[in-house]
Amino acid sequence: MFILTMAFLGIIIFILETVVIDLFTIGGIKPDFILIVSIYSGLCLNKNTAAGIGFAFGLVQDALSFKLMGINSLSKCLIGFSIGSLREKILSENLLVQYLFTFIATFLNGVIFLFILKGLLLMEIKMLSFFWLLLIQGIYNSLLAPPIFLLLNRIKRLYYKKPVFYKL
Amino acid sequence: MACLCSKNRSVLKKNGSKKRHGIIVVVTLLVISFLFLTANIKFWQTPSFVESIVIAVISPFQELVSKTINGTARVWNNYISLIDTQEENYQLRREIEKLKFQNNTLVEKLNSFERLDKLSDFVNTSDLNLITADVVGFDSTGWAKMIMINKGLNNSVRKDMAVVTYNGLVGRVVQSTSKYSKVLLITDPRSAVDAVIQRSRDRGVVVGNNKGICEMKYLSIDSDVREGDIVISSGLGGIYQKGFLIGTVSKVYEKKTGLFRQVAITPSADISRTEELLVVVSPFDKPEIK
Repeated sequence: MFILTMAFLGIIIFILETVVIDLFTIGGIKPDFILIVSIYSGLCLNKNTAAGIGFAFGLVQDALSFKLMGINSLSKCLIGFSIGSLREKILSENLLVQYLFTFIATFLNGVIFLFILKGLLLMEIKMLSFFWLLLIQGIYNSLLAPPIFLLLNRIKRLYYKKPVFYKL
Repeated sequence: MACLCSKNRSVLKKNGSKKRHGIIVVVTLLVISFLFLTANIKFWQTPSFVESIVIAVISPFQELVSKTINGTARVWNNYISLIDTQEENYQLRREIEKLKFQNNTLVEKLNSFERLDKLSDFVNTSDLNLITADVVGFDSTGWAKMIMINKGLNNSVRKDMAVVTYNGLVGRVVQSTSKYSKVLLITDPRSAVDAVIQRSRDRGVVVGNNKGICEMKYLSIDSDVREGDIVISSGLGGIYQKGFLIGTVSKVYEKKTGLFRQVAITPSADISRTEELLVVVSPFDKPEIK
């Protein structure tokens, strides 16, 4: 049932990302909801599950884009696993840590993109404007992450009665 | 004591093997991603099975939600504009109250007809085979400028067909499934359109810069380009027919050295707000014009 709910949630997130994303776009910067879900998975689930969720959601994201197949699945899988591994060593319930994790993950995601777009797809990218966009997207994702974490936590609580990490 | 030690050892072994399994799974997922990436670079022209499945599952939902949102937005906007009119004509308000809702619906229909009328004007005045398509979704990554339309192979829409509106060029079809197609917009950095400046006939290549505008590259340093000049497609390259309006020159960067000038172009088609598009079907395929 939890998996079904996650699949349904996935469809909602993808529709949010591909149909009504203009409502969330500020100055051409779009938030990355899939990245936020991957970070959440890393922060509150098993690191392998987080990697799996990141991979699956990233793959769907790639399929809905053009010629980017494999980029998001790779970056989100890596981010989910890395955060899942770090979670055991840090205080993941702290709000500041969540802001920081989201910001760093956005940056890491962007750097992976940069390497692949420039290195493999040989795209011409202006570094300064790319990092500037990444900085703004990092801040934007960080601000959006805690309420989304809270929402995902509520959903998780429906299936797992035990206390979860997130407290406001 | 010995029993406890052996138990601890077995627990440690279990943990160790669990960790190893986890790492193997993650490495496998990363390798799969990398394989997808390399396969994608080599065989990017046709959608992979994952893309076909995902599009088949997600796109009907996208279409449903986008149509619902657009319809609601149109009705809402018309309702608001009618409220303004009613405030000015308060004395007549009661008399027309019963007709208000009906009027709303009619205004919505009129707007829709006006748009379709412009599209059909374009269809009638051009010799091209055109079919209309609705936008059902945008790119999900933010790193690409791409849209999804609700026409695919079943409607004779194929790769490398130009996509336009009555205002100008939008992009080209890059992938098609049976019912849906992906359109790479001219604002994507991977898009390149051979173009000419209508007034001076100077040539260049229009590429996207991922910020909603385009740049014209390889424009000769001697060219007499000015702000406000109209840029059209040259017809070279075999994808975009000659004479499609691309946009207007919004900025000319002064450069005294080098071989080429740099020019910013604002696309004439309002790409981010377009709901209906026209796909230019090649002369070899002759579908019905809807």
